[in-house]
Amino acid sequence: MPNTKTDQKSISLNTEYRVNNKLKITVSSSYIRTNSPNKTNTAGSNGILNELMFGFPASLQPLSEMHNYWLTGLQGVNQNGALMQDDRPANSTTVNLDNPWWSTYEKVHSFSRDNYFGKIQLDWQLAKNFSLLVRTGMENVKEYYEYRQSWSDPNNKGQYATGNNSSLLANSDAILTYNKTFGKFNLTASGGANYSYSNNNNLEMTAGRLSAPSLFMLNNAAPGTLYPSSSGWGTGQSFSVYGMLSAGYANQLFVDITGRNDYKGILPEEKIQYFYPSVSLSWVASETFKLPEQFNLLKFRLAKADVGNGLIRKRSVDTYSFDASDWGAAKTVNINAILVDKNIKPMHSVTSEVGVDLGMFNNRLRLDFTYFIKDQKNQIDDIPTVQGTGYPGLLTNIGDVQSKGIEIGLSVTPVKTTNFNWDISTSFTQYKATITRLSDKFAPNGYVFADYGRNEKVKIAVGEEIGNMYEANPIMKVKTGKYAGAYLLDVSGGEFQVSGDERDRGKLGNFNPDFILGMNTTFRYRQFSLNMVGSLRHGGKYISVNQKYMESNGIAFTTLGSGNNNPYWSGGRDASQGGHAWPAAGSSKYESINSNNDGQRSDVLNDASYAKGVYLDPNYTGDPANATDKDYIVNGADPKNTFYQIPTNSYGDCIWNFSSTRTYDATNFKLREISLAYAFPASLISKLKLANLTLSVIGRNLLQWNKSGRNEDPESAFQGVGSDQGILRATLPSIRSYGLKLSVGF
Amino acid sequence: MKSFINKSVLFSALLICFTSCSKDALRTYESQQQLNAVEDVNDPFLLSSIIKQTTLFYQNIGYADSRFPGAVQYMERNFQGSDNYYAGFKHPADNLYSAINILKLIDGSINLADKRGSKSHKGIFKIFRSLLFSFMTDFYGDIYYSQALKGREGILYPQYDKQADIYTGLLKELDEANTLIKEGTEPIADTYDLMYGGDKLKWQKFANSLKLRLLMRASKKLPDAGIQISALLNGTARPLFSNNDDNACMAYIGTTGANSWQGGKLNWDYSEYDRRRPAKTLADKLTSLNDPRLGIWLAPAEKPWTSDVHLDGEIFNTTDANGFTDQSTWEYIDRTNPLIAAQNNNLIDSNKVYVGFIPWMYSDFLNGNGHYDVQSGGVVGNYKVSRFSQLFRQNAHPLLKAMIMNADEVQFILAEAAVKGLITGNTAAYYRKGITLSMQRWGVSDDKISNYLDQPNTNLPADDQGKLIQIADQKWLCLFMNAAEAYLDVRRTKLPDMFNNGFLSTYPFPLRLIYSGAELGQNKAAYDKGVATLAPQIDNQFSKMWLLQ
Repeated sequence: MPNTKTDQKSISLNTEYRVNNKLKITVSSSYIRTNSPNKTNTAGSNGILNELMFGFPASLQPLSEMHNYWLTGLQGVNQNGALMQDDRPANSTTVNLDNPWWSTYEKVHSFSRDNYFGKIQLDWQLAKNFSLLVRTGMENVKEYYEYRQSWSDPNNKGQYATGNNSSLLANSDAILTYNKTFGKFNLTASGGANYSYSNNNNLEMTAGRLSAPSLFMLNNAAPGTLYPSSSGWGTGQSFSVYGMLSAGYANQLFVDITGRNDYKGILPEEKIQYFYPSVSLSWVASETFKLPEQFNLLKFRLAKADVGNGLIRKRSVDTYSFDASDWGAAKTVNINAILVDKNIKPMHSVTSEVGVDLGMFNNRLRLDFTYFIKDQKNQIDDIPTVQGTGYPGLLTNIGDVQSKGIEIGLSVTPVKTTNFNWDISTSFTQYKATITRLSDKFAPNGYVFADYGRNEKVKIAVGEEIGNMYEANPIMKVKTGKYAGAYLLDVSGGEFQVSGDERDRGKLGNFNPDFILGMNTTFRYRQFSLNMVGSLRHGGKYISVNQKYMESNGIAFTTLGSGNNNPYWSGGRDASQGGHAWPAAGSSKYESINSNNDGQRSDVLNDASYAKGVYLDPNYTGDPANATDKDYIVNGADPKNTFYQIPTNSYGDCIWNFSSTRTYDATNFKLREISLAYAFPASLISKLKLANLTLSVIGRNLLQWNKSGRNEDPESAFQGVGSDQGILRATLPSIRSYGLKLSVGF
Repeated sequence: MKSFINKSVLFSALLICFTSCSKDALRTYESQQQLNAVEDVNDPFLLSSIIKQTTLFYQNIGYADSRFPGAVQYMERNFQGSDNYYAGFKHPADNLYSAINILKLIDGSINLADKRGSKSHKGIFKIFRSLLFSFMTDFYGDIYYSQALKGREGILYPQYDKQADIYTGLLKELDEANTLIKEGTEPIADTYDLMYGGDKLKWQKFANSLKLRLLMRASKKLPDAGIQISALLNGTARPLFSNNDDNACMAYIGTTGANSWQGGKLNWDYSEYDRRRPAKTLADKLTSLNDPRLGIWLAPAEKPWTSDVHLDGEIFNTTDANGFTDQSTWEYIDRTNPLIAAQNNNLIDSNKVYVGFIPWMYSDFLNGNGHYDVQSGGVVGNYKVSRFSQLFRQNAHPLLKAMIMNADEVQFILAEAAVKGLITGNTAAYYRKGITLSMQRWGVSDDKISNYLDQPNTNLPADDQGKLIQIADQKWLCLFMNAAEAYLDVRRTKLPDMFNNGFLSTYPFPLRLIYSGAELGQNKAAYDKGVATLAPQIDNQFSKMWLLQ
């Protein structure tokens, strides 16, 4: 992106001082400064690229005329908006769509960070078998940032925000270790303690509008628009003691046992502690038995560990916070209601795993296999409740989730000669997680649908597989008879209806893949090597929010016409796109159809379109629940008795409300990287007094195949901006890049 | 061994240092102080916050959210126009939760006021509590009331109360509010009372006027509605709104979007403002009554149609009572222009400058009174239909308030009650006072008001049904920009008869909002029982709740 830049400078120092042969002191410290006069801001809904993708109107000015992004004579005051001049209200300089150059040069996020960290460590051999380690480290981060937005037009008079964060994290450990070998036995025992302390504070002030243009100072805020947009501080501490015992027998049998107790919380009601044990066992069978010589390594692993995550006890209390902006001369507050189970327990996960490591044929074949069962116990989360309780949820241990899976790594070297080498390595991952237990406070009817994305929900119930997504607002369907399952359209406009009936709530799919396969292969011929990295993600679904906005703005191809087998609607913008002819005025025997069609008809275009489904005979007066087959009429079957709409109304409802219309297969293959490298010969390197010298050509993200055939990267549904897995929001696809790399080693 | 001990001492000293250094750094005492400060907020802060949140909530559904203004034909949208034919009622509605979020603040405030013995404040908070719970039941039907907001007491799945029981409870709470306000001795901070500047009597009036509103709403279902309404008219124990100083509303500040009228420039760009146009129903009613509010509420169309070829292209300015000037240009209906000829069916209003959008306007902007000139108008810039006046484009203005209830509404309720025999009183006097108050509220001069009241078409006819129709017309005008209440009134009385206007005849008028999807998802047992009391027992917009059964 133009006008963006980030600089980084760093200095670090490492020293080691041996006081005597038993005492060593190590000191290290670093300082890193990051400075960015304008951070890149391409992701998120404010990014220019998204704006162009979603909102690209046909009436854009020619780019050459947009280049000068201020209106003549209104430098710094009124931008030259992106739309054609003709397209604006008469005599108005109001901007309806930002000029992308204006956004690039006049919306500036500057940022700097100073990061200091240092550590001092003392290693002390107290006696022959005893050693002591004491270390303390500290990290201090200071950030300073500004946001400057220039005036845009008479109604948008800029913004200025400035803020800083500062944080301190200190960590100290003391560990005493005993190590001794008795014959074939080796024993290591250690015990220690850790204390960590954190402190942070932040302040951000915002001038909501600027009195004078292009003057970015807080005291230039328009009257009544200066407010603290964030201000706060916090401290935290945790204390733990731990011990570890590790024993080995004849380099073939190893046992590791650990235990750790954590203490957290400052205020009495926040204090909480938990003990985590772990044990692991491994056996190198190739050392115990004399295996055929093809075997280089055969090792069995068995481990069980209890790991804590989320040792936290929040106060259960209603508090009030003062609003950042006052209402004239009056301060106002808002309530923050937090409901926490007072018997909340720490959450922890118990992992059991077995594994085999195998090496054969001089390690030309290597195989790692692991099977794991991970029980995430006492997961802490909100039991979602309706707002009628006064709380968004009850924070408690909502239940347990169990995941099971396998991981396989396989490396093969099919060819290995002096001049030519071929290596292949692959990894295979597969797992599945299900809910195994729920709190008894939870869901009197056994399940709850919790909010997930904007139009999606997840089901919380015992036995439910993690990753399943459901329609938040399902389409109403016919329940019985031969039309069971058909969409039930409303009788005034023939439109889809949002259903309040649980039976209509369809499952959209599971966002987790069936498996992920990673592949990496390298050919090496003399000084040349060719490396390729690829990955296959198989299975899983994702929901495209891009599609939603592109359709709603009428800029996706799918808005031209429905195509032949569209399950939701039939029609198009004109006859060539599949649009139907409008029936003659008053041609239906139903008044509601006539009034609907005649209100929307076009005399010029054959753009009649209709929603697919059935509607209830307008003359049927009984309870809709008792309707039978003869009371339903198929929309579209008889052109005279069809609720037609202009295309945007046909597809408008279904894309806006129903995620099922934009759920796609996430299966994809990516060629992530190809590189061709040339390592300069040793003779040359030694002349130059270098350790190595390599020149390579690298291409990244060269090829992507999506099973869905769509031009977006399904992977970005699983990372990036949105936190909801499986929901692809406004994210950029992976960026293809080519490069030349020269690496020099001294 | 000795050295080992020494070393251990050193190590221990280090550890103690870590611990003691951190004592102050943890700011434990400060944390405790801060928590106390935010757990116990003073009455004035609570009062200003509740007034602010509730009035803004009501004004939002009265104007910016076009669902109710569209349903009662104050407003039609000329872009994304599904609210022109009640489509906003088709889907589960979350308004419930906006109300309950404010109720959470109110309940917390009542508890704090109780602790301090602030009786007057508790009474005031109870008015808002009754208002918002009535909002929930009036729009949905059965809903949680006695079990609402009790998560801390362990009620995670609150059951719904029957609507009849909620009404009984709310009427009782409003009586309590009246008494508490009167009995309380603590002062009310004038700068924090954004509604009445600390005048307790006005708060009492609000409690009783709101009770009157609820009694009329439930008058068909409550056998003693007449007795209860009459009780509000006798003596000074229960004062009602009597003039515009009593109005339950809040003025805007106008310095930031958040404290400005929603149509103001700090909130909306011009296009957003331009999408909401006055309905033909409103424009024609005001025109036929020669109503001075017409020019205050509506701007002249930018390019009105004329059948007089000589006027074509003539530019004229109109300055309204508030000093806002708009420029218009007559355009001759030149049927030799094929573009204009093609609009024959859509061109409805000509030779007038105040023109409304026809109800059930599809989001096809072309149909708005034959606006053929899309090139210069743009998608929302229809030149053939009026806009709302520039008054509604201001960030703040003496005539713009975030409104809950006004004194004129009280007069029209009493007029209706008198016609129906619920009370004994002078119908015409109530009716005329209602009109007068409404006109005064919008800045109409007294001589214009008396001229208006002298018109034959504003005088009440002799027959009761005729009286009710005319009272409903004027009440509908008085509730302009207060569309949620106007909707509930149209739903209750079926007046004004607007159900077949435009192309609406095949669109049934919706009677309620559909429960929010979360009720089904997270409170199913209660939801199912709530739906079972609707007639028919379906959670859609046409089922009748107790009030309408």
